[in-house]
Amino acid sequence: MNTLSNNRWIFVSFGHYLLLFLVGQLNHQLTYFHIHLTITGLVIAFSSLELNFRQSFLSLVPIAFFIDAKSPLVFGTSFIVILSLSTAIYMLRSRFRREQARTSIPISLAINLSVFSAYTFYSVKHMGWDQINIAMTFWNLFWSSLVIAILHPIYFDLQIMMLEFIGIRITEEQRET
Amino acid sequence: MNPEEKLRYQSRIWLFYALVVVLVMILLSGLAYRQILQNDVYFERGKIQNHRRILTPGPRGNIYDREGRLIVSNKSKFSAVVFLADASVRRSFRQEYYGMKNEFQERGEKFDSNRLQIEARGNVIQSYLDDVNRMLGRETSINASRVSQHFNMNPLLPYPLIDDLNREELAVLLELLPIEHPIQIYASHTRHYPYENSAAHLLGYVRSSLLEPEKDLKGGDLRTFSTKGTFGDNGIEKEYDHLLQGKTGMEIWVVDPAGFQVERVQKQPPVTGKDLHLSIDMDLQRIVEQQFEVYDSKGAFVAIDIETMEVLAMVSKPDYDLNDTAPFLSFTTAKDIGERGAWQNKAMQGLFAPGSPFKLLTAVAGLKAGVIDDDTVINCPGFLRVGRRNFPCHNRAGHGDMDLEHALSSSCNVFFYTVALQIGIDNLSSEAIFLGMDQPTKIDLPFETNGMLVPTKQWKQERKGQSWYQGDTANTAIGQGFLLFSPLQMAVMAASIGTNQVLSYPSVLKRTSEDLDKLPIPRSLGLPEEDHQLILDGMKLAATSGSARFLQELKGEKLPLGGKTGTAQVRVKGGTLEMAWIVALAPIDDPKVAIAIVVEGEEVGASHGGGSVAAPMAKPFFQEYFNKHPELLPAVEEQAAPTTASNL
Amino acid sequence: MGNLQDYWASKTHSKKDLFEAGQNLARLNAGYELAIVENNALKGEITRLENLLQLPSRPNYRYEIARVVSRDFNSWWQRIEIRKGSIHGIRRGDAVVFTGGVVGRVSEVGRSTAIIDLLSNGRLRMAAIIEGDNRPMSFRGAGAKTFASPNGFAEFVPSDVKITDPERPPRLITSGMGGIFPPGLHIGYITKLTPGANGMFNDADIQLDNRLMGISEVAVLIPLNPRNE
Repeated sequence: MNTLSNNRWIFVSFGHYLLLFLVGQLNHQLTYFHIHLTITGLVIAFSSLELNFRQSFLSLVPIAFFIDAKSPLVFGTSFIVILSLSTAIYMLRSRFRREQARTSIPISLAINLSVFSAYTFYSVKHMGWDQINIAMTFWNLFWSSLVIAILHPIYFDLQIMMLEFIGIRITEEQRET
Repeated sequence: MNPEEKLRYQSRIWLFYALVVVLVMILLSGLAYRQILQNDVYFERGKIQNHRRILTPGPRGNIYDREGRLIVSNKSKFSAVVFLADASVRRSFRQEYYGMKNEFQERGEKFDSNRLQIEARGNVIQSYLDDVNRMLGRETSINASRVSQHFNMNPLLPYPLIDDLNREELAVLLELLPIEHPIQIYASHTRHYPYENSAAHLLGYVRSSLLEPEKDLKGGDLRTFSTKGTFGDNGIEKEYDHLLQGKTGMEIWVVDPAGFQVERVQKQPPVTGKDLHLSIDMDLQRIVEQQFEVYDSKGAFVAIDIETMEVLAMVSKPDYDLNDTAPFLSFTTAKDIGERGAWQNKAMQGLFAPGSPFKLLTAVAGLKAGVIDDDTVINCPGFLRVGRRNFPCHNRAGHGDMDLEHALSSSCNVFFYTVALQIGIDNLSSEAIFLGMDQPTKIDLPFETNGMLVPTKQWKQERKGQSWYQGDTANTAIGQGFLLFSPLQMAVMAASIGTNQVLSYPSVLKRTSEDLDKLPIPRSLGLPEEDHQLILDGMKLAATSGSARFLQELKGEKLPLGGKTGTAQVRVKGGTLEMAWIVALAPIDDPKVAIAIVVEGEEVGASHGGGSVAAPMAKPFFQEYFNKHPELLPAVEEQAAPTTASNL
Repeated sequence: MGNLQDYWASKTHSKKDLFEAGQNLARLNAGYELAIVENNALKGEITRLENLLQLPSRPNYRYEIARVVSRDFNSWWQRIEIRKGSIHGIRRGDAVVFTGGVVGRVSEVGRSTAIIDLLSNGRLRMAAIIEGDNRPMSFRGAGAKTFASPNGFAEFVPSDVKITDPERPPRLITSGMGGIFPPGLHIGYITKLTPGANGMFNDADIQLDNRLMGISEVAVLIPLNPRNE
């Protein structure tokens, strides 16, 4: 049991991957509507709010590399963005009631907004303003935020349920702490 | 502390506080003065320090002939360039420099840091260029010193690595060169002359020079970097430079303290200059040029539309390929053109003795002075004794009795000697001056000669210190002696005589009806109509059966032409050279076009007559002119329809 | 006699056997129905691939037809992933086309997958010409500037190129001079011309084929004589 608990990041990471894969498939279909969902904020929020620093870090590393491998940005860009945001959230998480959805949803949205900003600035720097469609960025941000707001409780619950299935009771651990 | 001491202490404290307040107030007011009142001044000063302006020349306008053919345009030129001030390039410079420096230090060798820096920059740029060389299969290399010089002097301007990319090379680089590669594609333009040497003198050429930005262009107070612009140096390019010249474009960049660009804050794209539509007809121009080329001759030709005084063609041979002057005129090319004597536009800068075409003017003077009329007959025995010399006629056997019409047709010298001697040089010169032959024609082209010469008694006394002799008058009468005119002047003279008006202001620009309205109303030449007709009849006879008949031999076809040939003799070392002349009008009954052609004789002593040399060269011009204007040909009488075989 | 024997043989089967036989039959039927659905799906796919294969034959290239497994279009980049890679001979930089013209260029190659930068991607640049002209100009992706269709951007458009009839704007096609794309492939239509940087050329907005947004099959053009870059 101890081994499973110490390696919970693998299960969380797998859950993250599954979510990103499904959203990737959804994006494939949504191209007709010029919608592209970016829900990295949700992934970062779960790891940063629900796991300890080590587990959070480990769970996000493979995901960051996965995103890096899929994006045309210089390899490591997403890695730095994701882990920086994760660390920042981890440092600040004691200041708010992270177990409440009404707190954690805005955090997810804020993280997602930061990811959007980081990608946009990076693209502007390398390709110029004329290559960026700001209206579309906001359009995508709107839909991504909406999806995060809807998915957030479901995803958090699913991840927690999956961990409980292998005997890791995150809610209790948090209460004890 | 007793109350007294306390009071004293407190008062000192208050004093200290007051002092502090005053000091703070001084500081604050100084700050406010600088931040609020002097804000504009410091803002401007800061702007000047960290803003740079880059100027880009606007492309020149195109030039078209009267029928809308493009005769001067801009050719795009694509180059592979590198912006040396680019942050990534400078980073590479630094890395290369420190790498090389470390190598020297490891080997314990001494090095010149300046030299090393130049080499490092050269290595970096060469490595970039090697990428391009690989893609294009070229073997271009750079000059490291020039790279460094450009980096120091013009960091904001592109440094050209390959200056002449052809279409295929451009396409290859666009597809193979990564967008983020330091080498970029840069488009500029150069003047292009599709007709090569045609009308070269008339069109002129451009030279590269630093841009002189318009005064209203923003950023005049900023440090400015500029690529070279082009300015008309001759011909149309010079005369109408103010129209052809494009509007300079401008970019303002914020630079870092080292002077390297950070961000573009303002952009004003260059604007192409105005297009010009010339009066020249390239068909007519080319046809005459080809004649000079076929006969391998030197000389000049001018054709003028009499109604508008537009120049239809202006030829000067030898000439040069205008494309050799773009993008810049090399010393070798300039020297070669100079050695061939091709710089001069002989049509308006060349000065020639006019020869027999001047007899037209002698005839005008004689008619106006009343010494001749349609009944005047003068006997030509083949010479005229003037003073102690016999002045010959070209027909040594003599023409016999000659009236004006036949004298013009046969170009009888004796007739015109006699007329001139009767009216005197003062009348003859005055008539030439009245026609404006002593002045430039005021054509809208630069550098028209003002060395033309209409001799007078006073002129001879002042310039030669000699009296005027009767022989001088006789020589002047037949276009010899001191007379000097340009072919353009002779064409204008022919046009004036053809219309019985004193014409001037020929133009190479196509004139609109507004332009024509603005022209001064020409004075009358002052010939009574019947006298004017006498001259035209003489010219017509010359072109039909006289000295200018070779204008006409068109397979039996007769064009309504009038002409006056001439053979001017020029004394040179070892003998005389003959200059073959012809001036002509068409249609002679109501002249619409006037031409003058001079073909230089090149062999001393050889016969080079206007009738045999110049007239055949002018003939194709009239053929083409009447092809374009068949309405000017006299109406052919309708013949009875031929009877067909079936009707027999 | 034989029939009688069969009758009694069948009569002796238990109900259980009959149920099993019925179930087997039902299973077979279900299998056949599934097969019919699969067949129809395969027929559809074959038709689509056949349409795709109507691309003209090119002597210097061979087509490698591939399914698009992922479309990744956003306001930062536009890429697709195909299920063919280096084992199929695909190399970085290869041209990718479909019936509607150019799709883009291969930007990353895995063993059995490849990423393609779409025409609208800002990192894609190629030489293009106006149909009926031979002066090369630079085409570059300009992202999805509008929600209507993907966009491109052309530089060095000669100033004599004009949009005389908005219904029939000038068409941009591949030049064939750059060595990557064969000539004559459709890129897009010029929708707007603006004065370019040096005054002699114009810049142009290019409207790309809207089908690029939902592309599901592409053909990679693999050069028969690989270039040396």
